[in-house]
Amino acid sequence: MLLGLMNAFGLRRFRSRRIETIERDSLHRLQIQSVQMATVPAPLIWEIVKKNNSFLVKQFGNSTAMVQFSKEPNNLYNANSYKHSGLANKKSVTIQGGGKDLSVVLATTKTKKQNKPGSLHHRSVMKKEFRKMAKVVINQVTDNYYRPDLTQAALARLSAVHRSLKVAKSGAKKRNRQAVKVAK
Amino acid sequence: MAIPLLSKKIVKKRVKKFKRPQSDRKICVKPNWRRPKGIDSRVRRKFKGCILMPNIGYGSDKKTRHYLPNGFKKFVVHNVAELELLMMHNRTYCAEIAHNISTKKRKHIVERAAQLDIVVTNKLARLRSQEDETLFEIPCCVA
Repeated sequence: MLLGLMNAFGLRRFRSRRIETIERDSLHRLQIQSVQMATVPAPLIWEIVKKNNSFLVKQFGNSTAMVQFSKEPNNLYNANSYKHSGLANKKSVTIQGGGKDLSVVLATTKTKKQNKPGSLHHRSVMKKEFRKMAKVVINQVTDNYYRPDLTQAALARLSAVHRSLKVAKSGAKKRNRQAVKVAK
Repeated sequence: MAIPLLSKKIVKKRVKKFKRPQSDRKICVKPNWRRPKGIDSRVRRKFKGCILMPNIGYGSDKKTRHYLPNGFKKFVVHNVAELELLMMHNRTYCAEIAHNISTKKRKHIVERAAQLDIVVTNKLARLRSQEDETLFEIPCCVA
């Protein structure tokens, strides 16, 4: 009865058109959101990931004998902790051997490419002497306010990587009792 | 060779096993520890000169617990990737190559460990040189 009345007055038409426009608006807004992609807060990711993830290496013992390390390349201390985690933090630092000679790769993650893993890293290969590499690391990690809390870790990692490359190149020292005693 | 960070001396308060009372009397009573629960037990009532019972006081200092005599903690390693984890921890952890790793892979692991300055507890296992092996084999053949 009522609908019939509204119909008679052409009200129904009017109403439906308004609803349509509203729907179109909200759809448009949704599309914009999906393009920007809602980012998940880092603490939440950490809570999800901290107990089990593919990078985690656990060795169980009696309570205090338990060991947990993380295999992530962008985890400077290989420690399973929020601070060092490369999964949970938007900003993370990688320091690895570059493959060629004494070169070291320094990579940082881009915060705006979180949903594009292919172009996530900002990579730079360092080939200079140690002091200059250290300067680059300090510049990249600390001086531009990227992750000042990881300065010490980054430098420690750099020196460890650099030392391993040096030993790999020139062989272990004789005093080094870890030298390989394998007959070839 | 990496020097362990551990500065404390490792003290074991007791090295001997705790034997189950009366395990020397009967074969069916094994020396594995079982707490005596009898109402009259001398051991339970801690009489003078009885077998000692284990208790929490024998526990090691937290700071030296789980440390090996070489001053490192142990981490069992199956491949080079797992060894890399210890790169930043080479003064608290030492690597131990897992028992079922072949000679070929052991070589890689030991070599990488030398580069990373990580101590390997069993670095000579299965990696004896060829001449040594023949030396070891000959007496066996004669016998």
